[in-house]
Amino acid sequence: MQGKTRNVILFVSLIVLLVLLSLLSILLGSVSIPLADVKAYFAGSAFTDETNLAILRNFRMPKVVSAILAGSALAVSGLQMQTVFRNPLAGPYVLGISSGASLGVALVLMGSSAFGLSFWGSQIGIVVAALIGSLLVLMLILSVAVRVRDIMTLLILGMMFGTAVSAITSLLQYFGSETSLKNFVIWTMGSLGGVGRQQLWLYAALVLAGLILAWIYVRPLNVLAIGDSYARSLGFNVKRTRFLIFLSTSLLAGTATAFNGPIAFIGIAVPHLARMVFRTSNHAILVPASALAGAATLLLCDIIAQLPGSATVLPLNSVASLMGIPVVIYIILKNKRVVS
Amino acid sequence: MSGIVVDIKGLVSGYRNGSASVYRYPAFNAVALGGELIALVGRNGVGKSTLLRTLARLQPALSGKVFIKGVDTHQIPIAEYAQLVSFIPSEPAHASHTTVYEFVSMARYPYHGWFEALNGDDHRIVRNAIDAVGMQSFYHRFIDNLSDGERQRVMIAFAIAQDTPIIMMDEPTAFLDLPNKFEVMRLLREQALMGKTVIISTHDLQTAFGLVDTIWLMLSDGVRVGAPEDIVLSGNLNRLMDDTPVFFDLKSGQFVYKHQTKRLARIFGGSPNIRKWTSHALRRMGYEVEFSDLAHASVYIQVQEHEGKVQWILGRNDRNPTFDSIRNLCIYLKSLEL
Repeated sequence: MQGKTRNVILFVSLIVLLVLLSLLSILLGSVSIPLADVKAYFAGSAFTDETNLAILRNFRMPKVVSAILAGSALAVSGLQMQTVFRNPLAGPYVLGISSGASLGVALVLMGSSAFGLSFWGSQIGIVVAALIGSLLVLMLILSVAVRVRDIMTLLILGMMFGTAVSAITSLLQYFGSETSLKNFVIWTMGSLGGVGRQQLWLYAALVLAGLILAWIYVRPLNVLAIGDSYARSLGFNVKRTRFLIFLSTSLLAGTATAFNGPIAFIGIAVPHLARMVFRTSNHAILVPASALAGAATLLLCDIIAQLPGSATVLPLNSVASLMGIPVVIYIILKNKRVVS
Repeated sequence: MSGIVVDIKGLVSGYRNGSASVYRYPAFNAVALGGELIALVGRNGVGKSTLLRTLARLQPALSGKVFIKGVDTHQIPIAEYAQLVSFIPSEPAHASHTTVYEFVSMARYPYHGWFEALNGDDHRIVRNAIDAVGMQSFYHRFIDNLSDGERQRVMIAFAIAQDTPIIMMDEPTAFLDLPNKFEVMRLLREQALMGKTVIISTHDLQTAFGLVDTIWLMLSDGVRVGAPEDIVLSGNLNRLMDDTPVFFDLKSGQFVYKHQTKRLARIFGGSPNIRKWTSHALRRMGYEVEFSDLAHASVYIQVQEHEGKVQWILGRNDRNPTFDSIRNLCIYLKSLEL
């Protein structure tokens, strides 16, 4: 079929683009690294400059890998939420997942000054706290999901949970010390740099688990996009399917938030881009397409945020929002009914 | 028609909220045969959709049993049930960027594991289904860009592609104009002729009565089963319109308004067709109509045909108001009432 060759071409171009952007992201930054060193790094041969090796090993490579992980995780979880809720503005965070993660991080960073408790405020401590926070919200959502029939009720409940959790976070901010508040605000701005080499394996394993779950549920997603009744009359167990899709979403979005902070708009904008470019709603295509496009988009955001050639780094979240919002606005104005 | 396909025994459908049933419809017994086209008819809110969704197992029955080809449906796993019953809900399918072909292909999912790709047979079945409803030039159109009539034909293609002995559709003619209604009913009748059992729900009595084999008439106290003609002759049709000013006129086979006033109009002269349609207008205005020129009527209308022109004359002699259309006659009669 004509559509098939088109899809193959699009996928190949996406992969090429992803590789190019990864390479650029490795090369560019506050210190530019010569291409020869990158070649040497991958070939495993001797290095002329030990500093460059250290930068590559400990900063650039983890950054690129975590950008790919976070980008694909956020985009796929956004796609799942838009499909399950049949709402174009649903994203990875509608279920309150990032709010839960934020609360966990806020507790770690500001709990000490607010309650006189001492938490372990290191990098891994933040990640663990964020994961626990998003998992707690997830448990809440899932326990409701098996009881509530109506998907819109679930959406509203998710938003309510998120708002409630945010309110608690605000309280913590209000009572937190100035230094801890600053640390927290910096966390909310999102960053790809904070993930150490050792943590990458855990990160990759969690994201992979979420992506595999998403891939298993391609067919139910296709039918849920049409409507719950259709899914049911085709023999799918809607509640169980929804439960596992939420699990996948939370795993993806929760992990990404835990490691890189709440990165906005990738999850909302990228699935729309994938739908528009591939002109399909078949999730067998949309899931990998969103994953690849999400990774590429986040890499691009990071390259821009680094302001190549300068020592300044912009907050990743601001760059992602400034790139994502116009896409969302364009899409909403173009097809007034994106998902019915 | 062939043997019993669906056997419904004491089925109670309704909604349950906690332990109390909020809505329950009286127990229902019926059989549906192979090749039978059945319309579930009833007023809005009587529970047609609920009953149909219960039969399709989208929601649990409060009590009672349903047997399909002799097997209790409770013993059929839901995934297997999808190979027996295809159900098209009343809410139309909307999804961005989904082509007709992609949509109808999903109907083949029940026949495959989650990772098995659709095979050549599936694609042949999908193509045949789309062709059968006359949508062969729409394969790659997005379902969001179809008209209501086209979309409903695609829905039927979906049910055909699911290849089940039983097709259920909730309000398939609800959003359609008259030609599309007839087309949809023709396509469903075609499926019934091929031996399938087709059960639809509708509140559209005119469509149902002209075009189906059997009616399941849902009254507030239970279901009456019969051929449309049985339902008419039994007088149950009027039960459907209790507490409304409408009744079914056995003689004309039409639904008519009951009027409070007992004014009598008599029509005479002219051809039977013209007299018939003149009476149609007068009934609408609240007159009882008889075709004669006997005395004691509030209004007399004399129809005259002259060189292909028709005239309506009010009163029994010639020196009275004369009209060249039924509309003008009605306008005049209305002005008299004011």
